[in-house]
Amino acid sequence: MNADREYLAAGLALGTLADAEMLQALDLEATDPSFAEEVQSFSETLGLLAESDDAIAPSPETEAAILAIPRLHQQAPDSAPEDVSATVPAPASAPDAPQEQRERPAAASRSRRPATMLFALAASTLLLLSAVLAGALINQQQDTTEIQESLTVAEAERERTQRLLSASDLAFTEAEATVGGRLTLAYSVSEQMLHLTPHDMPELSEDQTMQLWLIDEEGPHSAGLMTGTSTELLTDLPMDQDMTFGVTVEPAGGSEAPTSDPVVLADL
Amino acid sequence: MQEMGRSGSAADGAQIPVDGSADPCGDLLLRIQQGDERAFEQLYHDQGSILLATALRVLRNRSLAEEVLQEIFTEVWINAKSYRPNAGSGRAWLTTMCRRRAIDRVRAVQAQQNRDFTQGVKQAHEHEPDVQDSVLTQVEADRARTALQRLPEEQATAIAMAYYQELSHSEIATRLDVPLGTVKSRIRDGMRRLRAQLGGAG
Repeated sequence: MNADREYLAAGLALGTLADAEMLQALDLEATDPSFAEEVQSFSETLGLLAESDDAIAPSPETEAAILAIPRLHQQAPDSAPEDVSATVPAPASAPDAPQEQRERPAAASRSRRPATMLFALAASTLLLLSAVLAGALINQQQDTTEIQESLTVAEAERERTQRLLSASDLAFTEAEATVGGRLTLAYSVSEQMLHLTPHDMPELSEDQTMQLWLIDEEGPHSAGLMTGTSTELLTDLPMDQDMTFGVTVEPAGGSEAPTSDPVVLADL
Repeated sequence: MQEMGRSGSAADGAQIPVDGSADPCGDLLLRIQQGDERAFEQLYHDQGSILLATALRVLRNRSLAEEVLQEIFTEVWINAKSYRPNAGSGRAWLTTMCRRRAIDRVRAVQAQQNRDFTQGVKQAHEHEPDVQDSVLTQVEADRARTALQRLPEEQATAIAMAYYQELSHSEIATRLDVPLGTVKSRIRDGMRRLRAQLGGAG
């Protein structure tokens, strides 16, 4: 593996790449099995680094509280998230945590640095455009109309992404999925746009799909379907600041209303 | 101040298992998925002290680290099915979750501090992480007590700042007053060397 890719794999395992590099690394991880193996290898190394530290025995109070967990909590069924932070009793030595700490959703969101994410999204758009152009060069015998249509689609995608990048209220959130993997969201309430990047989410059977929901006081409103394996850019969404974003697994074709518990939840 | 548990860290020269195919953590997590309480207890006895050490490296506060440890094991029990063996070893899954939760807790406390300051009601709080400590002083302790001590100092320092404090590489470059490219090289070469020393699946 060349030095640049090795750096990206190491940085992704550490989780400390700049946002543009992070997106590049995540794309590689999703599309290149050898790169994904490299990331996993570095992750294992970091696990071993943690094990090399001097172990510290938890206090008797904490040990008792942890060993009591199976008696106090039921396990969540498949694909059913549970708000862990809401069910964790305060440890004997725990301080009075700020209210926001006690109200975190189960799918913990991690903020991103917007400034560099702008460049990352722009780079993704350029990559998309480059891929289309490269395809056009390689397949010179392809029908000209098809090439023009592809370029038109790519250009429209670029314009939509540019709108999102330029939004004054552009924000980023990352949420973990209860079925494994996680989802990065870039969104703008003013532009009514949402860009989704799935990472390591499981493939569904042919008779299932992932359905996106915007949840307000009236309940969930469908925002479309996604595969869970490719990025999505959703436009013209009826979003507002106080909504929660959710993803459920639904029968192929989607549902009028959620038929299962959400696998991803994130406050906008 | 700290109650020391298991002895024989790598820093002491003890051998660390590097058999990438053996994943006792993963095996226990799969049993926990089936509701096996004994497997849960075994996982706590095997990993609780290590995870607490990792949380403490990040948080620098014993009470908060123990709180995070309890959250992690609650998550392990309730949402055990979110662990997927094909996505990596159980050990990597646990340590990643531990570090992320600890870092999230640091940021939550810092955000609360910032709000308090803005509102003009900032008060000393006995349970705040000691975020005012010199970063380099903390890193020195992280290096000295872990397998990082076997790396060249520059590489170990860069990795410790990234791993235990989740500083971006540009932030590390600023704090160390070296070019960003130098930090990237140290991270890459240090991780490569660390993997060669400790092992890792793949």
